Amino acid sequence: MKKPNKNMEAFLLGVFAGELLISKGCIQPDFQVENVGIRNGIPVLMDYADIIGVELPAALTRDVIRIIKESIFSLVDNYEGSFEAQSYVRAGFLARSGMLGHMVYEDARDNGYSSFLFVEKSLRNTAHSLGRITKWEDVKPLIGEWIEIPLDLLNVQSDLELKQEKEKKIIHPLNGYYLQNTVHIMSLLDHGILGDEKKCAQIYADICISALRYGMPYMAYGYAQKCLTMASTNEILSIGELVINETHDATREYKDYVDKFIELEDFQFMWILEDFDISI
Amino acid sequence: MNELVLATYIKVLQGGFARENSQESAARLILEAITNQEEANCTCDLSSKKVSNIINRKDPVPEDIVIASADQKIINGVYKYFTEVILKALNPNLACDVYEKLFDLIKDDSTISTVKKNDLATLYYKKEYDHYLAEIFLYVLGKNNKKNSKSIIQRPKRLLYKSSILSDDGAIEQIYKTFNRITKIDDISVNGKYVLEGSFSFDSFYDNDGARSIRVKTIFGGLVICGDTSLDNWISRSYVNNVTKVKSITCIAWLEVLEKSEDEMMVHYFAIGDGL
Repeated sequence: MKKPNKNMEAFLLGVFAGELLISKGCIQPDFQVENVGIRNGIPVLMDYADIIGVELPAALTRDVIRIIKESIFSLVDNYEGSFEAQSYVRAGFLARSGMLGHMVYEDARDNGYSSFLFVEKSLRNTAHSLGRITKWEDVKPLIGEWIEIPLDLLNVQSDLELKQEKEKKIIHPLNGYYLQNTVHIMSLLDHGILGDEKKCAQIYADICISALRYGMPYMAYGYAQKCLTMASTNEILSIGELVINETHDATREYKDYVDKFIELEDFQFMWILEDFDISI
Repeated sequence: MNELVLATYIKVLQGGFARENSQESAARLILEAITNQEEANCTCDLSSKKVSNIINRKDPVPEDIVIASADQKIINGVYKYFTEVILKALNPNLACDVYEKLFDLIKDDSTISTVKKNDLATLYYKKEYDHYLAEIFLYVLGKNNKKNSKSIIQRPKRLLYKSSILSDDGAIEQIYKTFNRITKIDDISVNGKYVLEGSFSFDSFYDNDGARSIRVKTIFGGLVICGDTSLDNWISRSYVNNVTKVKSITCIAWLEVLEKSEDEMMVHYFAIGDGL
């Protein structure tokens, strides 16, 4: 097996952390690269000694979120100073862990860890997470539902998109959004690597529509702008224009920031936009 | 004799008294500043043995004296007593030595806050010696006079964290020797340096420079003690990653108080070791 490049390794480790958590209820507190091996292209744990087991979603508490956050910090430590690699870790982790992963990154944000660490230090202290979901009794069934969704991202399937379309019809709308997010991340990974601009433009259009629907104006605005920058079809361009006109909830001041970051790599850009949506 | 408590205060004044030059008589003369005041309602036993135990730091300052010393009327009486009795009891040829010895003790005692040190220094330089001696007396009544056997600082089995301020092993030895164990909240003052053993929790956060740091917290007598440490100064990253997963572990910490409010205290950790 050819050794994956740094970003791909970071992504796989992120997915792996999410996989351990969601399918096995396991948290590796010391996620240094030395403690993880690659077998047949799939990460495996080399050091079981300190693994923590939690029964999800029943045993989910604020302290469990804190422990998962610490585990993710130990994972991103492997890519200290690299915004790009850390954005791949995040994308991988969120793709597999859905809402739980977003909660972990919100907790991380409240502890000073956000995309603003890398791009715009002046924004770092603007605000903390808005805490969209505050009641555990609301969260646990949704996470329980997510755990039941059959997702095997470590063995990426070509028909992932189709399978998720079927799933979306029967799950809670919020999980539907996170599932769509997973599809977007995996598609961007596939088509971004292949350099397929046309396909990427379609994904961008899909992201901005979905973001608008789920009340994420900066994500919608950012990806709509991306659509406009692509040499794309008239349909994609008009989706971009339409979505931009609908992003009234995003302020001009922060839209200007978004414009500054449009050339960044997809997972970096996505992280910044979500930080705007969650914390501004 | 580098800690200013009631025992050391009595010993210094005893050396300067013209007549009351036994430890017991010196102690009585000084403590009568409070016990002779009717409103102080002091009923404590001041037998020879008790006085001897106070001077040898086997006993704390009697509680009724401590309580009375916080009453403004009693305080005014103490000032008066020091002007009329104590100052006159000092041998005029030795009095200056007494003032200076106390001043040196104050300067060298790391448990005394800078504010208090400055207040006492002002009285010393202004030569308001009656007020100076009375203020020190009232201050030492509030300090823990009893020497706790545990106040002999022990070395940790393993040093887990070392602040970058500590340049070498000699500097670490120095903190082991000089930092005082916290026995009660009232002992704690800003800029004081202490050693504290207890249950500590560890949490990561990213500081203003974007570096992962570790916030170390404990609770002592209802007061949250909190300080930030640099990840790189810990024994290893694996160690930190593994301690952050547990709620708390027993540690011994050498710290300096930076800020103190009613319910929280910000500290700088010099060193943290395995609990004993």
